[in-house]
Amino acid sequence: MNIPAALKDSAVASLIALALFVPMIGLVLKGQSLNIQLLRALFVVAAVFAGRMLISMLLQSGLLGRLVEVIRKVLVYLSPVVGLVERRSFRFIGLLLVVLVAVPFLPGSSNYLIQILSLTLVYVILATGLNIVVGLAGLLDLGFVAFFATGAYGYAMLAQYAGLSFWAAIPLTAGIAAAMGCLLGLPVLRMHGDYLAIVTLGFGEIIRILLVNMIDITGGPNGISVPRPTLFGLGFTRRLEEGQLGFHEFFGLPYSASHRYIFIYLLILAFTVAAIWIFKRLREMPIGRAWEALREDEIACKALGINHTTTKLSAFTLGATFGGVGGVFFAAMEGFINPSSFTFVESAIILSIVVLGGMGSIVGVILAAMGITLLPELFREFENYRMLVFGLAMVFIMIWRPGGLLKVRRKTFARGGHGG
Amino acid sequence: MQALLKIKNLHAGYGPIKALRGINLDVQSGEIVALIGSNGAGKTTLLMAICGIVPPQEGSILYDGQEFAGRKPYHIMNQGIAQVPEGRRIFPRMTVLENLQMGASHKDGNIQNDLERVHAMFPVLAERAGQIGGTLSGGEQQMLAIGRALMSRPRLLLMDEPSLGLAPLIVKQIFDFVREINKAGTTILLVEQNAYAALKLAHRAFVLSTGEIAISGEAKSLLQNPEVRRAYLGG
Repeated sequence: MNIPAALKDSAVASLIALALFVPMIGLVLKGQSLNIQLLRALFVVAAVFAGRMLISMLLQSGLLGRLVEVIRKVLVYLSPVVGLVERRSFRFIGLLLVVLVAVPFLPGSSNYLIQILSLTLVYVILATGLNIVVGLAGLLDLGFVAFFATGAYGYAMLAQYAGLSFWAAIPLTAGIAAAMGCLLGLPVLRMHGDYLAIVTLGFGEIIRILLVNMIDITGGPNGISVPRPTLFGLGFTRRLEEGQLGFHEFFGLPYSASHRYIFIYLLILAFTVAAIWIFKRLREMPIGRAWEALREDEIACKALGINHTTTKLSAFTLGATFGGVGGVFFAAMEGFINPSSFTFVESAIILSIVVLGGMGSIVGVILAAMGITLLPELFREFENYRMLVFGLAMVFIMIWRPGGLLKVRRKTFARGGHGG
Repeated sequence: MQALLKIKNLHAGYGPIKALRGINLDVQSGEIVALIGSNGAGKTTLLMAICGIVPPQEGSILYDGQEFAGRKPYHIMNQGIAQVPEGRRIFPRMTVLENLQMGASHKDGNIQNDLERVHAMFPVLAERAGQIGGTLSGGEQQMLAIGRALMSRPRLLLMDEPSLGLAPLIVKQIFDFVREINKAGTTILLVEQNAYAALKLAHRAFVLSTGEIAISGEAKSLLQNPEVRRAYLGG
């Protein structure tokens, strides 16, 4: 074992620690005077020295290498499972669907659980929409939250100013979001990669800042309340509107807030299934192929006579529609929205779901959405370290599975293939 | 006889850079016309201008009596014209079959016949139908690029350096395919760096030099032309 080298490394590390920690924790401000408490800093430096020594020892003894090897082996053993999910993806989705439908009626389910699952499903809808834009068409959109916000505020404002119900607001809001998507698509038709990312980023921020500043219309930072959805006119709130019949009254049940949670949850679940089905169909349709071809090579697409203008615009428009619908459900679920729910971090989270899950993949995106929304809830106590773990997970997945959690398996057609 | 493609006084370029300065060129139906010239002479730009991908600034491009100058690529490319772009440009993460299907994307109805025709010409594309395009060898990718262009059953096929980066034996094979496609009735405008092989294959040829047509004539006579021999055939 090479002790001198280890000592040298540790000494260097300690020096850096000394330079950092003496000003950071060795100087304590007390009122107007400065207390010098070098001992505190020296403790930390000693800990750094010992830690660096330990790492050197581990590296030299090959223990660390063995640990990495073990992790790698575990992943290798796991990959057949992943492969199975990839091959039987629609059976997997079916199974998952059965479980998700059953959850609210199982013992041990709570309003909290139902809310978290609803949020997860909203993220699945959003990620499916972004998957069209980023995964299929290869257009890096960092401002997807704009459409999410359009959907949520669209519903809130249509309800507030036009008195529209949830059901009337869904198609209208989806249409508004689609128009917004088209609007964003027009100026960025000629843009690629980094430039596109910057413009979309700006677009997302513009929408948020508008929401904050148009106080008279949107309520600004104070937010806006959103009416709860109804089932064929049956309300789910304790205090019903004039002339409205309550769900519990109609079915002769005692009032329970969980009815509303379960109703919204099942509603979102139904729309999520629809969104995934639409995505799957789109991917197999000529327009889906054209998106993928555009992602692969734009010049080749032009040389083949593919109309890249309509192809790109349709990707933005359809993606935005999904985002808008996701926003309506988010608003209906929360009952109250404000601009702080629509920051850039949301765009980043939706994008990471798509990237982690595998661009263009359906099951991967579902799993990644669950991972990103459920895991932080499980580890609420470690809230401060969530972003750290999040980043680490991202790095490791990109190293070991650069195509995402689940790679898209291309359908291998029989020889001769199909027309169209 | 009316030319299938007639280009008159064509100017095109990228911003302030003029790549084409008054090109006059014609392609008769049924011909193989070679377009040779050194790097940067404007060969690729000329093909891109015909397709509308680089919009012409001046002049006219008449195809079968229709004016193409100023029209969008997606209007031009469904008029019986197809391009095999430089560097193949297949869709690397799509399967071989999907690549071929993209070639007929603007066609309505059944493409089964076109698929069978392309598969008969390139049996390897049928064997590898489910394989990811990017995993093919260079020669196979070139066949895929040609097959993809043939899917739209073009009357005029524009080929941009099909021999680029391929082994001599494969180049010979590709040139045999070009001859075969022409025999089957497709007119071909072939851009090549490999001037000797191109002139051997073509009926007529144009030599492009800094955006202008320098020499033109029968391919056989150009092979004997001292200027062409010195500049493009190595003496």
